[in-house]
Amino acid sequence: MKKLILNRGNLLFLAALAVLAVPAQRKLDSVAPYIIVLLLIEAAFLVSYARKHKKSTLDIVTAAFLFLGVWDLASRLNLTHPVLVPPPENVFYVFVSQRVLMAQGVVSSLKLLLIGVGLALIFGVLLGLLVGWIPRLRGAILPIANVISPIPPLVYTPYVVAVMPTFRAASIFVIFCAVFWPTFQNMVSRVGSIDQKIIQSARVMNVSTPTMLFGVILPYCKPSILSGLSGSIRAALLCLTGAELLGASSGLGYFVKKFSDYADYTKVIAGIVLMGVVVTILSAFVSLLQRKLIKWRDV
Amino acid sequence: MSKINIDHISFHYPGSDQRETALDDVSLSIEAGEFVCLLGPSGCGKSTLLSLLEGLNQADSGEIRIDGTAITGPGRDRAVVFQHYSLFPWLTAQKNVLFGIRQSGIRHSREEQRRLADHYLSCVGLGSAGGRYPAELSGGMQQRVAIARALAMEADILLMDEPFGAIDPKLRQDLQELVSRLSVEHQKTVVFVTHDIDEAILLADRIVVMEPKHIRAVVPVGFPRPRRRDNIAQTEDYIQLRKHLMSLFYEQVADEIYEEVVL
Repeated sequence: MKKLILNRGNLLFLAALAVLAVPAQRKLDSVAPYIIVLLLIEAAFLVSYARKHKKSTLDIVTAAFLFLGVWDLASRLNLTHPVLVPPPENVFYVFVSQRVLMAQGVVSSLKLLLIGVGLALIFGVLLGLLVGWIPRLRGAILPIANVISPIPPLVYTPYVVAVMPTFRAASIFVIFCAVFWPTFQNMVSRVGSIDQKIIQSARVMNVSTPTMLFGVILPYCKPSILSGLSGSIRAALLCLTGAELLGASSGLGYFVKKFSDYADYTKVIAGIVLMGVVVTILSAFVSLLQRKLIKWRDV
Repeated sequence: MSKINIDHISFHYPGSDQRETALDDVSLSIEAGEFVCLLGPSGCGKSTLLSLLEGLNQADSGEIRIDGTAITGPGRDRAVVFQHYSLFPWLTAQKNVLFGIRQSGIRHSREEQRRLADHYLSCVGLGSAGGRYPAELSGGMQQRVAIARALAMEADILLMDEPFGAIDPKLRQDLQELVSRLSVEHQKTVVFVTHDIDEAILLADRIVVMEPKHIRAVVPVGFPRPRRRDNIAQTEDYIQLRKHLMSLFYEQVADEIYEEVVL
């Protein structure tokens, strides 16, 4: 209990709150959103630290409060550049003032992401299963895949945005490419290197080809599909926001692009923070999925 | 008509030299309900012969007939237990057995399938382990589940490829006695590969002693089945039989060593 209360994380939390008492030498928007952020971080810290006394949790929170406190103090004392480094109060206030645009952006980006990643996973897994299982296909297609897949999708993003009829189609296509190739290659190599004992024991049980593919090989590959997923989503988000910088009318990338055109860096930083939050939530969701779906280990 | 007819089988592994045959003109008949052990040192072709019975390999010449019909691949009439633990690691013990039941080709309702799976698990003494994954089971327990899965296939013939080779001796004896009992209870025809003389005597009606490429001798074992080691191990018959098998087994190993020296 004593360790939970008396530690440098809590101390810096109080310090960050104390900075709020320093009279600001420049105009601040509402302080409330920033305070809420501090309280949320503190609450999350207390919950997780009470459950498990992990040193790393403490270190992360210490760094976060130190960073926010110094940032706040410096802007209150007017030590930072007035346009390029806005105070944290103003940055977090954007989440209130621009909430409609932000929510629209998140929804529109996630929709594209979901469609693109979903399609890529379905095609990548099914084709990977087939190509991995049939040696002749594997021999022909793998070298081709090895040529195409290393090209970063970001490179052909401008071209795709120009060629495709709508922005939606273009970004779905780019996301598809970013996720399809790694999934496909991963699948082909996993299927090709499947433990022969598993195949043999399935064969002596007389399994049909569909059962072999979907009842034996697919579940065998499930962990590697899911472990590739969080990386895939990150790559997809990278491509999507890259595409949104070029030609979208809503979305996370669009939000940042729009305000940086007006040199409104407060909103730009808020947009970047929002992206970080979205990515973190997505990753947490994927690892939850992993824990729920994969309860077994290799023997 | 015998249950299994192995008729002038020859086989060499693809890719190897034609002269390096693994089996050369091997013939053997096995009756229904009989327990046959293939005994021999490693590399004598006993596992190769079993893989032909499993249908995982095809003979170059000759044929294997089961109930008079030549086999062309794996079939529902045979269930296999491998030496390696061949359970699917993503399925619990019960689901592994269920997989076997579904592959048996016999239609059961869902409840019936579950009831059967639990029944077969309790046959091998694992009634309470159905919900555990293979990684959570010891090697011996995994092999018990593999036996339950093989029984669940409802095949007449059980093929076992050194199933207890990797299990420590104390547990091995329990498993051997379990198989001896189950093979009689379920009236299976069993072909069991081993390099362990005592294991072969404990289990088999007939022991087929193999040397590279050929069958060296077929030795009948007279003790009534099922057997328990404690009941037979001290008898004069056992000691004589063991001595006889040892001489067959080691004579041939000696030949091999001599060949190597000459080469």
